Amino acid sequence: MKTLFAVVVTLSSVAFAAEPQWVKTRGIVRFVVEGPLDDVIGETRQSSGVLTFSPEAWSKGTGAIAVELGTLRTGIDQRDKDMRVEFLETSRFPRAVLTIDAIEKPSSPALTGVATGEVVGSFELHGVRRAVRVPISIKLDAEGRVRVSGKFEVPFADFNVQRPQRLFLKLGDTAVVTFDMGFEKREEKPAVAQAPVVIVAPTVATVQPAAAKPTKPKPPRKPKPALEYTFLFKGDDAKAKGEKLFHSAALGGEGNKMTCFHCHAKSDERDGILLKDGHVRAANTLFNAGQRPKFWGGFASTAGQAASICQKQYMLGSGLTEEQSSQLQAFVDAISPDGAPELDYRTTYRSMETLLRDPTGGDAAKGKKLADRFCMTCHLDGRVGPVWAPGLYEPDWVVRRVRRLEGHQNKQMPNWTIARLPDSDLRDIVTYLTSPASAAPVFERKKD
Amino acid sequence: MRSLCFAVFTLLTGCATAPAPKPEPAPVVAPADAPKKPLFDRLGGKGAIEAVIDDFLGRVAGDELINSGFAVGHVPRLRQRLVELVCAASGGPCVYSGRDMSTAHAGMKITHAQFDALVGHLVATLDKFKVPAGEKGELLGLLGPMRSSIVEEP
Repeated sequence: MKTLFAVVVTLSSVAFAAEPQWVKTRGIVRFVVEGPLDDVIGETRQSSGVLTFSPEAWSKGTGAIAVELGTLRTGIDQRDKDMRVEFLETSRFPRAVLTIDAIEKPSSPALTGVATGEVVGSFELHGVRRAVRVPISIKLDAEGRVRVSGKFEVPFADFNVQRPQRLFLKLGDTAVVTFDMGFEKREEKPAVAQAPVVIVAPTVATVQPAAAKPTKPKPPRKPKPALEYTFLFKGDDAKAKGEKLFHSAALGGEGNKMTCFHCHAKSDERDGILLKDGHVRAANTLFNAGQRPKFWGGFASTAGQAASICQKQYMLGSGLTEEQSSQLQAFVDAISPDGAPELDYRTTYRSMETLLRDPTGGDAAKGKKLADRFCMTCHLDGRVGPVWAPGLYEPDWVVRRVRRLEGHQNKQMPNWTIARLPDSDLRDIVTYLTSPASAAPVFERKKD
Repeated sequence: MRSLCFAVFTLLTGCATAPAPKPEPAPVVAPADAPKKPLFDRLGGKGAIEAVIDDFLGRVAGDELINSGFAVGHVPRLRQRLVELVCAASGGPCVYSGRDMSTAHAGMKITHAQFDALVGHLVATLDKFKVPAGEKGELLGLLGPMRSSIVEEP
């Protein structure tokens, strides 16, 4: 079975070889391509496979798995059709084939139960064959059945697959392929009567040397910028508890990762709204906010009630308890030595009225820096969606979400007003976020 | 608060999209031989509708069950749309410039309880202004059918 699929065919049709053969009896192959809004997931059960190994020395095993690409389904018929015709060209290249030449790094020399290892072999797709290494786990059960699962990445560019322009507009450049398959031992008799394993010879004439190309070392991941803060109050009183709540994502509902501090500073902003952690908060500081006569334009009469509105609207919650409200109230009161008027919402409302003029007429390089300042408070570590995907969004869509214009459909995102995020800065950010040139790093960034 | 607004929108939109109201049977309170004026006029015109909406929004603002959605919205625009909606729905000389009820409320996860609360505030407001039972019934009758477009629970 060395290297070539043709050998698989031979082995599968001729009966015997020193090593026992295992034929695929069930299983699923799935791929995922990241998209900014939704990942595209396709799967099929139409595959075939043969493994040749003895459990006593399984790392010497070889084999091949072939997938009928025309049977992949993603849930949308038109998309499936486009994928077959434009993207994978299944009429010319009907199958993808993973060939197993050897197993390296076996967790145990003999396969007695569960083991892991790394398949060294090649993957053929779209007429191109490339060396791959695929981490797998394998299990031999008491009844002599084998289950194999693994996962590997398929960069479209490596296989001359066009990054889809129409149908897959805005999708990633890599498919993550997973497989999970069951195999049963072939009876040791001439297998003529058995259903043949339908695997054909390679569709490419030249086979790349099996020598694996060195896997690229991953660039070191940038450390996540933390939201820096120190607790102002220690102890066990209401204001200290309120401050803990202020920094707690548990204050919100199920799935919430946001805290009050993601939107509000607790320090005086009169000297500037850029905090020490390098970010600007979308909403006003709570410093000196405690003595305002009313909140939320009159929809809340106390800071505690105002917090409850925030919790419902931005933290996936269903309202604070009275105890939580009063503790947050105590905290806000404690950082509000001075009197303050009610907020003027005219700026807020004005910001929610019109789309940005010439949204892509800014400076993308500047926009990237400004995005760190304004957006990364919440978006960089994937704390909130949609996926942070520069280069892949529509300008007006971004503006609509940032300014909370009609039809925004924000789930947690607050509105940035023109006072805190001026149009000129937003224009730079939108230019960066929507420029195709910005797209490359996205998927690297999201990988782990 | 958002729920409330929406419900009101709904009510109004329903009216607006309905065929031009033909004269309805006279309300119970009206003399049998009175000329049948449009609901808009019987409610007291645009000034009266604005007063009703203001009072109504005030009640919504104070109701913690529904006010959070309204608080984070564009309140002046909402008020304007509500007035347009009621005005147009009741046969007045207004054009509703907002979106349809389903679109406007999409994703807000409004519950039946919130919708009911909003209707309750509208009833309270209409009672405060001593709107006769007939007119009140007509107005609320426009609201009911919008429930399915606004509420997102079974």
